Amino acid sequence: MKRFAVLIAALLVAAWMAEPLAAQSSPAAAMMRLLRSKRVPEDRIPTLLELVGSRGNGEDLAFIYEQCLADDGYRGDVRLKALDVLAAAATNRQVKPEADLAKLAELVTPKSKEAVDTRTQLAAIRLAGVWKVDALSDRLSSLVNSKNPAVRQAAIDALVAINSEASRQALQKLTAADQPLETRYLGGAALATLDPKGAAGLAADLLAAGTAEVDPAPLIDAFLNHQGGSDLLAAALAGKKLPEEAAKLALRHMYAVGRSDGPLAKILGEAAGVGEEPPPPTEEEIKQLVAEVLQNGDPARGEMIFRRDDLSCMKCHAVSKAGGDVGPDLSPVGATSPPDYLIKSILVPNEAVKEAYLTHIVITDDGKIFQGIIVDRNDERIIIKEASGEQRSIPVASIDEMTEGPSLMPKGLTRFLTRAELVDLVRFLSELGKPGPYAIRTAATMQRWRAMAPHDERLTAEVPDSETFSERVLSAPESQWFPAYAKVAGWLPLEEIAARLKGDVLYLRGEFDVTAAGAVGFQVEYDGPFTIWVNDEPFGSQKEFNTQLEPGRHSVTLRVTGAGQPGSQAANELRLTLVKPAGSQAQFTVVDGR
Amino acid sequence: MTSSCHAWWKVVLAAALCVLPFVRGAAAAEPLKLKHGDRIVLIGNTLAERMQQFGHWETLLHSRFPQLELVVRNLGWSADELTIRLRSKDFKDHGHTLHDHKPDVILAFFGFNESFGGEAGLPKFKADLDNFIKETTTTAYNGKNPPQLVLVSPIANEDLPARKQNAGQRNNGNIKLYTEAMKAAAEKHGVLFVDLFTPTFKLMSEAKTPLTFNGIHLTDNGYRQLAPILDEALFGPRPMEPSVDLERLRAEINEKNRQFWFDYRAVNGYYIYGGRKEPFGVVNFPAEFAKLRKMVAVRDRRVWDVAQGKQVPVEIDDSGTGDFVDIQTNIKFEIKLTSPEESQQMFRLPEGYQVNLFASEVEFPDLKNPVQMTFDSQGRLWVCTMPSYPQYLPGVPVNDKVLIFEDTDGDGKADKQTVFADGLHVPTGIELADGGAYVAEQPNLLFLKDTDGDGKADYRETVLHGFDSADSHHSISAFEIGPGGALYFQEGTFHQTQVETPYGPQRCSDAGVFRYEPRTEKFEVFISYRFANPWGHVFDRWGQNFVADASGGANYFGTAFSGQVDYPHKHSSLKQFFTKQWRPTSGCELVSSRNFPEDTQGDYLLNNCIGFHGVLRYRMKEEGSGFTATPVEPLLQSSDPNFRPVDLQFGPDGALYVIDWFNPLIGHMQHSLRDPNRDKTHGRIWRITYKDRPLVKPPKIAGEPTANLLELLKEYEDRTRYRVRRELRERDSDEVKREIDKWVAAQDPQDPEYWHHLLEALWVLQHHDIVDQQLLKKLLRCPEPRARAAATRVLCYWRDRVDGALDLLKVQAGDEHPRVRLEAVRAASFFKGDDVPKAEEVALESLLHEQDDYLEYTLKETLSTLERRAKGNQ
Repeated sequence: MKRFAVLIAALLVAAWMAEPLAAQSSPAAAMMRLLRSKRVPEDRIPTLLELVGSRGNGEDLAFIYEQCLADDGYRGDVRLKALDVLAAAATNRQVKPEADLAKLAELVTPKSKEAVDTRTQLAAIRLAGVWKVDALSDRLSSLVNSKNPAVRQAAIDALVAINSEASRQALQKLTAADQPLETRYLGGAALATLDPKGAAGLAADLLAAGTAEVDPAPLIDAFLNHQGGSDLLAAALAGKKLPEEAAKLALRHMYAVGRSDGPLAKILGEAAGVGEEPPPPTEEEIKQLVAEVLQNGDPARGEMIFRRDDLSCMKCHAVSKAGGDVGPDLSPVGATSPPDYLIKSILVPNEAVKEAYLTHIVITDDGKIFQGIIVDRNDERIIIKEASGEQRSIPVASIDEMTEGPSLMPKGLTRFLTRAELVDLVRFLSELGKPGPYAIRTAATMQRWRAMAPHDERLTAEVPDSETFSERVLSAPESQWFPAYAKVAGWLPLEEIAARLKGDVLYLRGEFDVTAAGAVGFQVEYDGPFTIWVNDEPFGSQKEFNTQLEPGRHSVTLRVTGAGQPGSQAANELRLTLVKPAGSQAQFTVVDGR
Repeated sequence: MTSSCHAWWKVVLAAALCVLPFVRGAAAAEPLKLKHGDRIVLIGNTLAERMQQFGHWETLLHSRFPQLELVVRNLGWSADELTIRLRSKDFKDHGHTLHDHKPDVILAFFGFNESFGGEAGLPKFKADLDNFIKETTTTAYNGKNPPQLVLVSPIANEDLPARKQNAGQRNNGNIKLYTEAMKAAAEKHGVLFVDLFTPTFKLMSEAKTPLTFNGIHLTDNGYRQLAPILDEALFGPRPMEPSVDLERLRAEINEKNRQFWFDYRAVNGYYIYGGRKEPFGVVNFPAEFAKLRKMVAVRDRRVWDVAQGKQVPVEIDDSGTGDFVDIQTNIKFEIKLTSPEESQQMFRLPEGYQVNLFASEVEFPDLKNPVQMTFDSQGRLWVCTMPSYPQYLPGVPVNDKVLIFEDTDGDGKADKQTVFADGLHVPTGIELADGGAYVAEQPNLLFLKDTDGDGKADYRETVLHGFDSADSHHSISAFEIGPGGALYFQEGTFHQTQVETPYGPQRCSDAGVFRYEPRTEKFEVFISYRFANPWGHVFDRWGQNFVADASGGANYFGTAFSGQVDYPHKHSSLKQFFTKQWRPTSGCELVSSRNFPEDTQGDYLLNNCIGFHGVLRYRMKEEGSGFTATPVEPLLQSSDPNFRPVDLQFGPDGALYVIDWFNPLIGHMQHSLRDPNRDKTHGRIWRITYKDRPLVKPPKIAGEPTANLLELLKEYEDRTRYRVRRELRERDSDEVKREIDKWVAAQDPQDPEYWHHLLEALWVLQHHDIVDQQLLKKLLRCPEPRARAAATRVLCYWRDRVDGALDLLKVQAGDEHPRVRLEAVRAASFFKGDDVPKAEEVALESLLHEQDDYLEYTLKETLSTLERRAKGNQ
């Protein structure tokens, strides 16, 4: 045994000595030695790959690349990581493997699903774009009509990145009149990314053909993300007749991503039939507004306005810890911020921004524009969190200009508001955190919900048995659940949810963490018919019960029917509170957040 | 007093004349000529900055030229270099550029910080010097003609044998080299040059008591001796005995400089001229600074009058300096300031706990806006207060204090108060050590000490300079002596800090945690991270540390991101060790008290002061190399919106003490800094105990024999051992070493706490900077992984004095416990120069073992630092 170990050690030393000289000079030399030595167990290879990827030279990367293709090379998560690392090296450091890049074809259009899974294929498609392998353009073109939207989008992005004659032709085809509107938007967006000026006319035509059903967000983004792009689109839209609904969607999207570019906002606003963008208020006007807020503002109405979809407030802000996490949780805002400050924060959001929410605008060499909060940066790349909550990595080397940006709080959203609504909204905000109905949450009320309105009769017609419940509710894919948030005081407005999900049998799911085992109590405040489960254990229609729970994450599910019937608050709204029964040792918290 | 002072001056002047006649640059240089009303501006590093604290040279200047009515402005700034002068955003708009000050004469004190570049840095220094001289001698800052420029060399560094410090030996070679370069440049350009290196080198080698307190910065006495050297070098032998009362004159000068300091180094620059001057700062500050500048002019006049032998009234007449803008509150809701009794009724605690008032402004009117506290080894509670917050109002003297509270009858309520120090300005942090108190007074770190036993500080030294003050509530805070004896404190974003140390300048942009070893004068950025505004730092029983970022409410496991990263780089984003519930927070502590229930021991406590007003609580769990935590029922929650818990610490009795800043409004951005509703008269200290368990009997620490103190290192409570280590730190090092050797030998290896006892011994030695390789090596490979991890951290800080440090680290990097590996990977980031390739291998060694998020993060961070060093672009 011992002799064997010595032998291994000798071999390792030999391998070390035999290292080619070129690799010695690579900054990743020590890591490559470790990688080639095969001393490192498989589950740590991804870490090593990342280290090599962020400093290795073309030869080092060729080793990784070959391992992705070799029959006895990397597979599964390791290969996925290897492909990501290669993409990052090319993006951030402009280093590619010194090897035949066209061989990537094996992964881009695999012979079978068994050989290459979809995630790997997506990574390879992305890599083909990053490496700009024109030889793969034909294969990528064959993927733009894929049934899988992720593959389709990846192929489009890769073709955009390659930007060759062949790739542009493939993209052009997507915008043909016989294609569905959604596909045409995608094609238009791709062409606009390449050439916003050339594609502006086409985009304007596409928007003029817009409907309320198809979101033009990708097309709008393509222009917003290009320096001067929104002006080009605005110019092309001049004189075009836009359907009101399409214009509204476009405008709302623009605000939701924190942009309010003047000309485009103006032309979309006109088409959408919303008012002019008002000039910033004077001190006198603010004073007047403050007086109205104090006199006429209704916080209850204000809360419903705050929750409105078209204003997107909750996309970024949480209240009582439930909601978006791009902007600050507003639970205590009324207790710390006087109404004049709140009004200014809404109407002139750039004036005062907390340090954690300072934004940057980054313009890259190729004229792309990014705006958001920098969440991380190193020598190679910065990661910026956009108003949508999405994070984007930008190579430092590609940054042409970086300036402090305005607040991600959209400026023009108030165009969707009447003055009375604004007054109510501010009143609501100014009550938040003060003693009273909008005080800081002290009880463990369920605030963050997931809601589902199934069409499956086994779930709608009657209360499902435990097997059906397990299979069709507990195991329902995440994509069937929609986020729903309780109001500040924990009341979940069922009518609002039923209307949004278009169904009157609702399944509502909340989660909580138990950190110390013990009895946990549940209190349901709801006058309509309901059934409740904790995990998979049914508790019928009990309004108050306790159950013993072990540490870990748990779920509580309610099935409610007849939501939105006229009646008391407790018939329209539901509140679930978790309590600690006397003598219980349990420690628990409800899961909040987005 | 005055006559003795006169005599004193004569002696110094005579001595100076013996040391060196005045030194001139090239023959070509025109001698310095002054005319009536000339404006003399000092620029450069800490040597210049500290001059204004003492005023000795300016006193000689005005007494030599009483009729010239010279205006002197000291723009010295900690660690400034010719080409590196960090300032917070838009400082240039504050009115203190050379164009604003219109100098006729510039005295430029550079070269010291640059000298750490050694021979390799000399060509750059020479080129920079050339550019600097050219620019300065061709720019008509005063609108008429370029200033006369005087290049002033650095002073020599001094060895302090009593403290085993040898800055002189280490640095003087390079300082001499840079002094010569300055002399040559001065000759080449025909500008004046003053060599301070040669005469101070001589003075230091002959001095019986040190001229510096840290090897590089002169004391009051040191500046007193430097003054005539500089005076004579500039103007030649003094023509006659000064006929005025020099100490009176110096007092006037110091007062002028103090007011100027409030202007030049104004705290809250971000709200005055920087990124947040809108919408409130632009309303109140212009009038405030207009007044302050007139006040400085009034004091200039008094300096001239005294220098000319005229009488000046005792009271300074600021009646003609203008008025402030009237600031109205923008608060629209009713403010109700609750009494302590009312506030107490509004607390909610979990079953079994109780809270009582320890002290309030009612019994102790000095207790206004308390901000940080700590207990001393006599069990007394020290707290710093800051009613002057957010900052000085021109003409209203600042009088923030350090108070000491005692509960002499043991009823859980303070019954005695002593004012340890007063006249302070926004002291944001305090920690006790070395027989005194380290106190933050942005931009400085002070050391205050009571040397005559009357309970009041009578010794005061600024031990570190240059912490930015751009935002007074981002300034150095959360002071904490770590287990190994270093003082830790932290600052928030916007701040641009540069600190001069005997090991070279240290800089930090946009937030970090600092680590300072007073004994060795080592100072470094402990965690260079883009915090928003960290305000909380705590060490656990085994030396692992946790940092709380106030503004965003984030909490971090400290080991993972306290590896070195070279300025201006920063660590990349680190995950938080639990999901934050609330923000903003202020202060954190770990439960370690036998008065608290068993199952709460080790819980992480976190103050939160907006929205949720109280003490949050999290159950800690070890996970891989790090920790996670999950929320449990808060320890304290108040429905009093004025209740603002800002610091917390377990006392000697095992009770948890919580400081209440007590203020209806605290936002910096939401209200004017001068909003009249900012409360300046309240402050409380609350005390939380568990009813059904006995209090801890406070162990006797102060004055106990060293052997007894070592036994106290076995006490259960973390805070007791922390106080014991602080006490042991003040004992004679040789005695401590002897007693520790005996104590360690006497411990029973079968004791389940054996390895913890030995670790405590190692930490005490670290307090004394006594490197005990044997004990260290024993702990590095002991069976207790948490002790191995802690020892690895000690090895990191002793790496330059432990044989084969990297070989030892390599073993730690292959340890079976992930936290030991994490400490090793972290420690690898501290190696430089030829050690870099080997340090890289040590770090990579960890990859042969199981990974987790922290190990991967720290490995990446360490390798980035090492790679940058290998490339030489640190």
